[in-house]
Amino acid sequence: MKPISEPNICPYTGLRSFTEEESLYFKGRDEQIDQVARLLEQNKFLMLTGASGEGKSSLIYAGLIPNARAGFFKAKYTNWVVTDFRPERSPVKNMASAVAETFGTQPATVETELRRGFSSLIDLYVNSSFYTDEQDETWIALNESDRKNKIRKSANLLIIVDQFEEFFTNPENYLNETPSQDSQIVVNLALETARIALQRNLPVYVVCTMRSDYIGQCSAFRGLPEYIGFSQFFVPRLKRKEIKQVIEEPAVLSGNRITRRLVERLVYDLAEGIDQLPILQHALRQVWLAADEGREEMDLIHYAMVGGMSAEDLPDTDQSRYTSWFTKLPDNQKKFYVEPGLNKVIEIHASRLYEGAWMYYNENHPGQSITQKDAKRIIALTFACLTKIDDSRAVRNRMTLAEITNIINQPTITTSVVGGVLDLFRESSNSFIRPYKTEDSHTHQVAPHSVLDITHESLIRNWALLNKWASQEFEFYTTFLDFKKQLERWKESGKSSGFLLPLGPLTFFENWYNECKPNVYWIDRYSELKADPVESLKQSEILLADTNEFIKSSASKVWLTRAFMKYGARKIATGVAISAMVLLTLFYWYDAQLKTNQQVEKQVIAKAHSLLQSLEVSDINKATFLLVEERLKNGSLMAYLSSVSNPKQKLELSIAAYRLILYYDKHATLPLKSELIDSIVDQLSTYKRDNPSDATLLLEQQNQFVLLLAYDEYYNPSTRIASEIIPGVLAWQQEVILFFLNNHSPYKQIVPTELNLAIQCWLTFADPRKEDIQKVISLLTPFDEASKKTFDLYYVKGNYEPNGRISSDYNGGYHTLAGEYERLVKEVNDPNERNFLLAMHYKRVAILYSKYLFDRGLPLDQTQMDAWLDKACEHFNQVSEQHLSGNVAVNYRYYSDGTRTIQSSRKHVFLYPDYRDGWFAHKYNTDVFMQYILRKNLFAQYYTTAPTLALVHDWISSAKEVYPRKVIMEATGIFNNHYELSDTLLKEILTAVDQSPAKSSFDKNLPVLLLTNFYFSSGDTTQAMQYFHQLDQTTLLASSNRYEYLNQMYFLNQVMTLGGYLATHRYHREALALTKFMEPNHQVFAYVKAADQLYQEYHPQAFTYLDSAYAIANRIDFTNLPVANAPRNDSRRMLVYMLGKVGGEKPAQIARNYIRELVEFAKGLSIQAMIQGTATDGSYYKAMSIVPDTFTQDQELDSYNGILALVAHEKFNRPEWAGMDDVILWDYQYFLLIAI
Amino acid sequence: MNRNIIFYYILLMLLVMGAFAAMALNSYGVVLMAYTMLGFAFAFLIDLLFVLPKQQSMLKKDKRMLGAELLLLALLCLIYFAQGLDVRIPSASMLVFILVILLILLNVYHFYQSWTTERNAPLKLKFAFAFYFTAIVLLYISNYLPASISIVSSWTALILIVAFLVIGWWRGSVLIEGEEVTAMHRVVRYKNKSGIQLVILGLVTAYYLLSNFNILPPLYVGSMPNAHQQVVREWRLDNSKTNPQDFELAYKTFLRGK
Repeated sequence: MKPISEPNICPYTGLRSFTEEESLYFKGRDEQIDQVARLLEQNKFLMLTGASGEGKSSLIYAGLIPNARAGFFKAKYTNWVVTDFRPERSPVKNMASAVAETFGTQPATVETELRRGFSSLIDLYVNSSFYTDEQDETWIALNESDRKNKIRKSANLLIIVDQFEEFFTNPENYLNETPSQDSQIVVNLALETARIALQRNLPVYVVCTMRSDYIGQCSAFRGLPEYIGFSQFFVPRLKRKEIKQVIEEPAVLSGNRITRRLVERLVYDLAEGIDQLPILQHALRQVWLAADEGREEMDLIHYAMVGGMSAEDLPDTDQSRYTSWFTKLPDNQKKFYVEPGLNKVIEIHASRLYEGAWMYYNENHPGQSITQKDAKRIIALTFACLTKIDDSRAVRNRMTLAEITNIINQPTITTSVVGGVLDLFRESSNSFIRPYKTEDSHTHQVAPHSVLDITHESLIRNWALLNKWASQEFEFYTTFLDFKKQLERWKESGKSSGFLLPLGPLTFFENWYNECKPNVYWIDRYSELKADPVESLKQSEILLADTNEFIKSSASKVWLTRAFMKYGARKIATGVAISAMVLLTLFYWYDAQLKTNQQVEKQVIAKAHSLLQSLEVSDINKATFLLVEERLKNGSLMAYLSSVSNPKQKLELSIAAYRLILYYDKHATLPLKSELIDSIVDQLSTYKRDNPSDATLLLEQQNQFVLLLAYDEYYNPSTRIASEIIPGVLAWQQEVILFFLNNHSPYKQIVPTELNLAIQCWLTFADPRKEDIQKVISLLTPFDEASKKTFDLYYVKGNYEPNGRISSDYNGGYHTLAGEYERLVKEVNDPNERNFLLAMHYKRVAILYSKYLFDRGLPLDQTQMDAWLDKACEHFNQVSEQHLSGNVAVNYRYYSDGTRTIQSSRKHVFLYPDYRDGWFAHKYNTDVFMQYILRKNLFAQYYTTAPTLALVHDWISSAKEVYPRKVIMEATGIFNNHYELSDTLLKEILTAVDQSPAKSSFDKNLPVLLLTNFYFSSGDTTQAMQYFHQLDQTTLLASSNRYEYLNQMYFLNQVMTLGGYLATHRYHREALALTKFMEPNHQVFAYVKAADQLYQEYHPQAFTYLDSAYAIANRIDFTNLPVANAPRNDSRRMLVYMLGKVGGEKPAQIARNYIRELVEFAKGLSIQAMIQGTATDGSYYKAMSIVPDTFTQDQELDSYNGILALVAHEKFNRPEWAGMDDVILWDYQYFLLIAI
Repeated sequence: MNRNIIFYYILLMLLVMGAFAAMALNSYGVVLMAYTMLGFAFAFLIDLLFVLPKQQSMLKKDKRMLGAELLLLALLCLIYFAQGLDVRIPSASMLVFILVILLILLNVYHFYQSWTTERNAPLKLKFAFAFYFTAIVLLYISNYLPASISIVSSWTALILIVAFLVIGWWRGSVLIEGEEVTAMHRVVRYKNKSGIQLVILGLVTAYYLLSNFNILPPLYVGSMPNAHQQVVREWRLDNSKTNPQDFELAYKTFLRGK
């Protein structure tokens, strides 16, 4: 095949009809053209009918008109003017526009004329320049030349009403079997024009083209059937020979070439049925395009490339070319070639455009790309808009671009986008949609108001997708009509629920709604109010709103039933299960939030607050809570106190809080302390001292307050406290004292003790005037008849403290002091005694003064100390041995808060390295005396015997002792002494002892134990182990037994602490051996201690020690223990504590089993231990939930205090609160191994 | 494969529910989680034995890979089930380690396969795949890294998941052959179980990180000491600290016979 260099003209029109200009290529209809011309010549009217696609329009435009212009039509004039129009949706307007264009007038004027009368068209013609009336006077008056000119300008008028069936297919023209008024006007005009033309023999001709299947409906127009019967031509089908002409001759005439085999194949493929000519024309145009726009000779391969035939039928020479071409096709287009055929060419062509439209758009609109999905949607909806089903026939439906865009109704899809996508279908090579895109740039874009139209209905019938869209659109429409009926019924019933849609119809209409997605414009498309577009749109809006409401209301009524029907029981069950799990998860999440430590802290605080109102709870417990809360939330304590309405409760709580602050830290500098003092003073100032109901309270509380103030002032010197507050309070107390001395009626058992204490405090701190003292004495003296009753009431011989344990003869101290005073002022004449007393005096001065300086944080004046102690030793050395060996009575510490009198030699009284006589001799004071002895090398001189070395030993055991602070403080108010005995001094003592002749008598175990623990605590394991090896483990039991009471307990605690250190440093064998001397109950303590220390490091060995403790505890018969009645000494309590700390289900169960075995008091302590243990490990919720309902309110608050103290310790572990931690957590750090 | 998706949803929900129950200090929470793992194991085995053989459209090679993945996951779940119920399996940690390594390799293979299949896809989509599979691998290996690195890798994995969700779901639609697709669309169509792995590992890691910041409470395990999780945490930070397994063993030894 030889390619042609210049592009040829395409002689095939595709789906559109031939135009007058293309008449050269309009072949095969010569005979019909003549027949039509003869009929029209004769009748002036012709109804040209025929099947769709038979070329009716082409016959007129490319056959009749060119023939007429060429003179093959016998008419009056040689010129022709053609007025052609389509009825579309506005037949009068369209006709007026066409006529106006013909006659050069305004369409509006013409329309007015046309509506005036049916002869108006003839009138327009005869009055125009196109017509010459040869009877007219003006014509007669013309000369020959003018007449010729006039005749030359005259023209016959051909009126063409194309697509006459549009009178029936548009509802605007034809509704309910009735033509519209405009339709009737146009039809009558056409018929009347033809009638008048025939009657008056005017050169006016009327031609209508119409699909033959609408012929029956023509009877709707009066007179039309008669005219059709009078002059009708039915376009016949082409014969085989004529078809060949249609194919071959245009090609030859246009300079193109076509092979004979292609012609034969096309003629062969042209099947019977409708649309054969459009199909053929379209196929030929596509073949021409495939043949490189006619540059190649059109052949079978091109036919195959457009999908007209199978590649298998191609000659062998074309096979490879076809395969090569086909391979390059996109995958999504190959599928269209599965079943090729002439009838499939339109389908393949249109579908390929459909698939590729998005790409076409994106290439032509860079930067505004759309998806294939959107492009397909635009195409589908556009073609659905451009078709409609009329009487079961799919026909064209013209719409503007704006109307289509509105129906698509997507914000991003504008008319520009829709037009851009549809441009592909308007391309001259495709020509599926009118207006076509031509070389004229004005046609390149479609304006929003432009009317779009499918080129030919054969496209609808031959493109399956379009057919489907059209059918679907019709279904949507018919469903909508059904729906409207239901909707109307519902509205007429006043929107009654009884008229809502039942389930089946609802589902049906919902499906329709979801698929169709009707919008205002879609509804408006089918509106019957075409005459008034604004009103029509408004009604459509209302209809859409009603539609939505109707469906929604109907759905609400049957939601449950449909849920079951829609999803099925299985899915619903799954949904319910998942929902339940989600709810449970949310519940657990909420529950977990409530159980977090932060939330539990709040809950515990709330519970504790509720207990503050209870009278069963001790003030000290309440104050403890308030201070813990203060630690957690600064300012809470004073805020709470200010909210307390009961003044008595407020005063007691304030003083208890003040006392606790000093318990925790005697050097406390918290601002809260000053606030409390001021508050207490304010509270006390409001009382009347002579009010009997308040007298006892004031006596007791003012005593406590004064003592606390004095104590505070001693450790924290304050002029204000010393010179203002204390005297002020004592002035009030003096009034109370006088009140009680004058009034005996508000007597209570506690009054004598408190009154005596008040007098002592008053005398000691208030510096009373002589006359005031005399007044008190006068009221008290037993030597006066009047005051003797007072004396007998308050100073009873053989009286005891309210607890019944402590003797209170004459209330003790006041009288003792008086006796002492008498003894001291007595002159001492014996020089030995005098020297001894002076030695004791100077030693006492040195010790107490050094203690005073230490307590106040003042520097020690070593020179002054040495001077006093030099004098003491000088006087001591002057006392004879015999006098020194004599015994004197000294106070000796008895348990914690008591003393007892023992007989001791004067020598031992002096050599005891501390102050050991007098009223408060049971306390360890300083190491100043021992420091002096060692510094002056006097140890070898004074401590040469076993008894003297024993004094040193005794002193060490007292000096390093840690007091059982919590218990004792709460009971008696004894405070801890922070004066430490240094390791250096201990080592010096050991060195000095080694040089003593009686060194073998000195039991080194305690100092060695202390030094070992000291080095372990300071991290020097090597030194610690060196001292550990010096420990004589064989004598540990003896060492333990040499002490009594607290000293022994201290020794055992030191052994246990060492066991813990050894365990944590992995000296397990040594640790186990160390505790062997202990009795089983103490061993349990030791193992728990070791386990606890190891557990703090999460060392697995902790469980081994715990297991050992458990095993030993199980072997002990606790009922036979000598300490069985001392619950604090029951080792099971510590096991419970440790098990609580470890946590887990089973340990908790074991702990509960232990608790069950314990006696009541021990049970309470153990539960508190478990609470504390559990809280120590961070699980505050678990700890809180252990608190049993059987607890007293005091125990309950105590438990909460324990938990909150841990919370506070975790959150605010600051030095100012360290004392609180020591006190509250003391029980679990120091074991009370001896019965209290 | 997607027919069992509801079952997987339920199991995931149960897992989360069990975790929250445990956080709410209920000992049955962990037991519930253990049985959920058994459920997962069953689900994977059902897929392996009954669903996979019916997959006609899959290549043999892909079938083998998926079969291996299902088997490994089932084994892993069974081990966790046993551990949740406090049943000791010899060398369990080594076994888990091997299974995890194999699963990591399988996920790397899945990634390679996705990358090559989508070689012409836009870079955004390929990045989304990279984030997706890297997140899974990081989530797996985080358990075996020192704590300081593990936290970084865990956060990285979670950030990658978020990045994948942003790109793959929210802001990541790209046009491929005219179809608007996202990485999420592609991932949802995967027949492999990377999605479930990502969800479970993501949840576990998110919990681990949140509990590290005390936003979520620790899981309460009734059969373990309270401090167990703290021991695990400390050991992950410092290997010289107590090994949790030793701690656990000592605890159980102590409880034996009591």
